Amino acid sequence: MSLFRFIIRNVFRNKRRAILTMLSIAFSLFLLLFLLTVLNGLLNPVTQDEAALRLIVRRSTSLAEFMPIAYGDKIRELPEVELVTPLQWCNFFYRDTNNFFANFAADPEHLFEIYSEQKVSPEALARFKAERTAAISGKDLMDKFGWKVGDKITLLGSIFPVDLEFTIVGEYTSAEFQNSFYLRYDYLNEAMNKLNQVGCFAIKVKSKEAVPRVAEAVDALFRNSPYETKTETEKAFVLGFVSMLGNVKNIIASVALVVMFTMLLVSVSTMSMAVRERLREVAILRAIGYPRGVVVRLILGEAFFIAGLGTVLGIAMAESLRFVDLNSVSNGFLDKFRPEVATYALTIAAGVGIGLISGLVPAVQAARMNIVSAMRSIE
Amino acid sequence: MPGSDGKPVIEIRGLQKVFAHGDTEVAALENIDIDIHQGEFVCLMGPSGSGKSTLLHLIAGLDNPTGGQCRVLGQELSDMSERDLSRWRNEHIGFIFQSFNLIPVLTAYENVEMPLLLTGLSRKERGEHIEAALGIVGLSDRLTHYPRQLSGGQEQRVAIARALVADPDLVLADEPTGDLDAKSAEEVLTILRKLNQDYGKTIIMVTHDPKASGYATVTRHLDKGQMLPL
Repeated sequence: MSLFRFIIRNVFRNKRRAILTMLSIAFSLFLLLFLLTVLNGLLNPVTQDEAALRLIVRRSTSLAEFMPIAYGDKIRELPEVELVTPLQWCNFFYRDTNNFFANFAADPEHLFEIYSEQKVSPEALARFKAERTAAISGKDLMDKFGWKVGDKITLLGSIFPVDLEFTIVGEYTSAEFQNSFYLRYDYLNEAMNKLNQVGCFAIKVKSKEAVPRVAEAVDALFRNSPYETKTETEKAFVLGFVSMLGNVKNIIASVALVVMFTMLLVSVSTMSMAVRERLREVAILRAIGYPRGVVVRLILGEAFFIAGLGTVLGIAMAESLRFVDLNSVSNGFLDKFRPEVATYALTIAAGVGIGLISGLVPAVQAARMNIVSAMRSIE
Repeated sequence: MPGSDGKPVIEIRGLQKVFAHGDTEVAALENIDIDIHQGEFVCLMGPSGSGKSTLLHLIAGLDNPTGGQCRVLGQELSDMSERDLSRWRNEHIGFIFQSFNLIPVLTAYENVEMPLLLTGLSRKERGEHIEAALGIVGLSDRLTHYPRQLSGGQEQRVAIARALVADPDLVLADEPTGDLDAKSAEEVLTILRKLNQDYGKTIIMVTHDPKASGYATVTRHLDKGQMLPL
């Protein structure tokens, strides 16, 4: 027998308690990993390399307000602007409000040149440009609803009080999100009886260096007009959109902290109880020559073993989310589950911390106890 | 071996132990003087609270005296650090307790192995020591049994094997028959006498039982913290 084997025997002395403690740690770390990943997604939205050349123009007062569609022509005339498209969030639903997904009205001529990371076949693009009711859907969305090219579907209006029929002329693929749906702005505009207004424009700038200059030039162009604009990078725009969710970030961070703190208390309590039940044995070990350091290592070893197994199990549980369609489950709020290396590191560090603190408290108590008093109190 | 030159293996002079309970102080031992020589089987007797277990704990270095000197196997225990004391106990002292104190999740073999895990012995060498120790106490056929599968007498014999396995110079037994029936108590005392007579072990046994003292070579009485004259 080795001291490690002795540790294992002690861990499973009370199998039910050991397994429940491991599961508690596993669920806590699973929740921590999941929440940190969601939080990271909110704070650091995924943007493609192509996004570095893109700007989003919106009203300076609110994302929900419109500006004239004619602004697009004026923006296009700026010297370092390459392409412009209106980009209108439509908030259509498919069949009922549970089937929520991102759908935008845009200019079919330039949309997929500006969003060049979204790949569309030439045939699909040609039909999108030629047919007023044409629409292009992301591949994941096609799979989710079982749509096929050529299908005619009706989307239900909410922001815009019209139900519109579309012909799906193709799908786009992308390394990242494949859950958006694109329709033509002119079709929406006509259905809304010449709305002639739009919430956003997407701009492709000629060079990265020109991006800040163009942003400033666009806002300067409409300064002191009834529809002043705010032009920002795509990442800043997405973050601004996330900020509309209010204190979700703080709530997620708070929940993660509370979960970890509660788990720490539970683990310290469990380990303390496990050691307190064995004070007699600890005293005997000391009496037969086990130094304080070895006793501390034995108890810490138990705590680390339990926390270690809990950590591995928690990460394995989180990894299983890779096989879950989070987009569907969360109604589009979450996309794929892709924790970063730093998130894994933080989760493992939390597991090690639980092991260390939960073991250290009873270990130090056991090491400091008076051997004779411990033996007297039990005999 | 320390003390084999005729000098006592334990020299105690003016030993005192006072326990403080709040503002009250209780003298558990007062001015104890005693010499114990190599190969003696000493029985310490006395009523409850007479200080005999306290004396045993001080001899084992499990507690610190309030005053006086306690030299064991040539070492002044009060001069040793906690770490050195632990190592010293592991190498030189075998402890037998009243309630056996075996670890329930370990087999008899593994319980006996516990003191050896701190030594540099190989697994094979440890196995030889363990089988020899369990052989001396007559439990060679119970190596894989857990404490719950053993009788009280057998448990105490495993505890004796654990005390012997590191070949200690001194065996300290605190009421080793206190929790046993008469037959098992006799078996345990016979083993202790065998250890003393056949293996030359110096044994100090604390007991209430007058019959137990019949197995010892020397019996000393304590009363109210004082050693009574021979």
